[in-house]
Amino acid sequence: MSTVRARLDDLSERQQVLAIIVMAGLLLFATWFFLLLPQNRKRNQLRLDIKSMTDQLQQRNYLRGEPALQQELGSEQDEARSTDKEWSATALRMAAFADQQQTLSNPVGTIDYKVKLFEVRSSLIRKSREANIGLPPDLGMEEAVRSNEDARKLMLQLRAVEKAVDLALDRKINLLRTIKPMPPIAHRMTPESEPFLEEYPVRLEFLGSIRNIYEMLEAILRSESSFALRNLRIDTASENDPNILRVRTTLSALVFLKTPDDLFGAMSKKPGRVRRPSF
Amino acid sequence: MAWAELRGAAAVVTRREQLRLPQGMADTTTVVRPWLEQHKVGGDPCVMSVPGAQCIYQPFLLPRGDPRGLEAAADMEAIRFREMASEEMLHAFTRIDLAPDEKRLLLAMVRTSALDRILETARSYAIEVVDLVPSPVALFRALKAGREAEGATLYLSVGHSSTDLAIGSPAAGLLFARAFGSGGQLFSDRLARDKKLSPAQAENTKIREGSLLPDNELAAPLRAAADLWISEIEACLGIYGSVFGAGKADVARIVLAGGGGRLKGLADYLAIKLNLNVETAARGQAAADETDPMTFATADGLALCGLEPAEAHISLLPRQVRDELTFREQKPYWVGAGVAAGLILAVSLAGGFRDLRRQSTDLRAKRESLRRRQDLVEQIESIRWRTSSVNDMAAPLRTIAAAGPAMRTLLDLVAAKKAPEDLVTMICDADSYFHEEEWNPDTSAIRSGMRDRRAAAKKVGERDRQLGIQRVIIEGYTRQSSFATVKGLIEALREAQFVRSADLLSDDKLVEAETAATHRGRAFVIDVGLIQP
Repeated sequence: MSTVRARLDDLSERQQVLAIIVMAGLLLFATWFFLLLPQNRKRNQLRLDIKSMTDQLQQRNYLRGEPALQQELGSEQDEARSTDKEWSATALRMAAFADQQQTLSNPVGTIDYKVKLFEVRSSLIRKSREANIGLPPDLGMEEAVRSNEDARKLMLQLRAVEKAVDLALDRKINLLRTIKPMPPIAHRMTPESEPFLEEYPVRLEFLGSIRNIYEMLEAILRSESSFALRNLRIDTASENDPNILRVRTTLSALVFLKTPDDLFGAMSKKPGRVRRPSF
Repeated sequence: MAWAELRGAAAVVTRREQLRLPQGMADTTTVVRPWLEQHKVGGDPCVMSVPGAQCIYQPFLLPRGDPRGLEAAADMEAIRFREMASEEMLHAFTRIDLAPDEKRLLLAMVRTSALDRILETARSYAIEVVDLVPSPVALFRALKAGREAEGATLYLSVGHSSTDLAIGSPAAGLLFARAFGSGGQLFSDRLARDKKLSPAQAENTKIREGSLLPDNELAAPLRAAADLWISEIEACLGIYGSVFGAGKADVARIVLAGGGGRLKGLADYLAIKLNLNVETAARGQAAADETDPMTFATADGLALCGLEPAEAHISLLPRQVRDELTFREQKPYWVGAGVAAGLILAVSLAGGFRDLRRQSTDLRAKRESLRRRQDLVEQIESIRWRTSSVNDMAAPLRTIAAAGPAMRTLLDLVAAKKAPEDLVTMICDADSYFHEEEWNPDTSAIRSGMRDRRAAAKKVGERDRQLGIQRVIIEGYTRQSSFATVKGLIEALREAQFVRSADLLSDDKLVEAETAATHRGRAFVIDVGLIQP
């Protein structure tokens, strides 16, 4: 301190004033450089950000006030909920198996399939005998299960066959000539994504009256015995008796694997982000 | 030493002090400095005299038509002297207003080494020097006021070892200045020599008893010394007369000052010798105290110069010292201006900073609003995309689900609109129709005509194979050769809301041949396109 004082005393008044002016200049420069310049840069950056954000909104045709966007968001959410609701109702009505969630969640082993196959064959053959309707005894289902086959899919095929045959027997048809479970059809959003819907088609060929056909069509439209009609071919089975018709049809049992919430995330009541899945 | 202050517009001498130094004293600082401190001189601005003998005074007249200004002429004259003296010199001048059409000036020069010594002495006395004035100039400044006599006045200040001489008038200013190395000591020395006294005794005797009046016993040696002293004055007047000639510049009277001037009879003797009216400085001088203004004439002049430099003023203060003083005088204004500028800048900076902060706050709020809007847009687009995706999921389901009701309605419609005499042998979705081999690989059971027809149509059907039932094929026979009933059926089908199109799939010769063979009528195949959900 004393050294500094001594050095200041060595300076003339002119030099002292010059030193004060220089110091004041430096102080002002420092104030400008460290205080104003950063603020100015920040302000310019904010302006750039705002311009960029405004341009983005304008390009996407969303340059509106927050209330208008909130209102639009509410409308979109309402529509989304309505769509979800419609999907749920459709899925509930068209699901082939009322207990499909339980069926999907429970693990299925090969033994389960084999036991079930035996039970279904026995049950349907017994029912066909009681109704005096001819029926392929193997129900078109192979008993052998290969290593590359999925027991769950076989089980669902079997249940689709059981339901379709049961439906036909209940309609009192003349003869169930062919039962052929077809490979399941998986519906996906994209080829890489998980399936959200599986169809288990069953081809049936039977002989019956036009009344049997009408009843059959009405039955598959009811929710408790819902099937999707994939193919239908009705022709005369015999030139001698035009009332006996040969029906070849493919009925698909629909299994809903995923809900929209599973695929895209749940819709919250409050405005919030909806996850875009990577399927 | 004299103190002066401004009273109104006029400077007035208020106080005088005198310090007698012992003769032959080498270092005066040890005596002078305590004396100055005792009289509290340290804080006051001081004007010091430059001894007249150390200066060179040169009055000169610029030739008529000389384009130079007085300053340029003074500078050139000073340069000329400097070259002769081969030593650094400082100069100053004062204007002489003797005649309106003349350009005259009195130039004073002094060696810078002499000034440095004076300034060094001032520093050793710790006094603040604001001006350095040659002693004849100070003498003129002190004694010139209020004298409106004709001609010029010769001012004499008789010091201990020198005499300052100044000639001037209030109107023309200072015309001439000189100093010569004879003063009161000259009289003391002569007295000491003639009366066999020591210098101190001679000095005291001169002060107490000395007189130039004829009845005084010391008059003879003193008159002898006075003659020598007056001869110096006459020499100076001779030079003066040679420079200015006769006229308005003629010396009309003498004003005697200085301690040596108090010698009794000196004024009268001087008047007789030079034949001029001689006055002493005491007359007409306002004394603030009991001190003798005659002794303090030069000191009074210095004090007055410090307060109100007259027009006939010569300052030999070095430029850097003068600048320093000027700067010191102006320093409060500089500081004030600096503080004001600093305050203005500070206020500007603070205002700018505040404005920037306010703008930044506003912009930040705007950016936040835009960010919220971007979030809302993201949410809207995500939900919109989700809804679209759910609709995409539902599309195949709707198509599949629509097939059952459509087929049932179609069966009803065909049953209702078919002519009773016509026979429908098959109703089939297009996929099953064109891919019969998937159901029954052995197609030999199919009637030949129909087999060919289906084979021909198969190529088209493969291309159209899609999800759900989009087309339905109706086969049959009609007994109407004109196909009128078939046309009626097709038109009825076309009118149905769920039918997109209805027409015969194809009709060729094979059908004609078959019809003839079977005797059952003419075969027809109707292709019905269904509207998809």
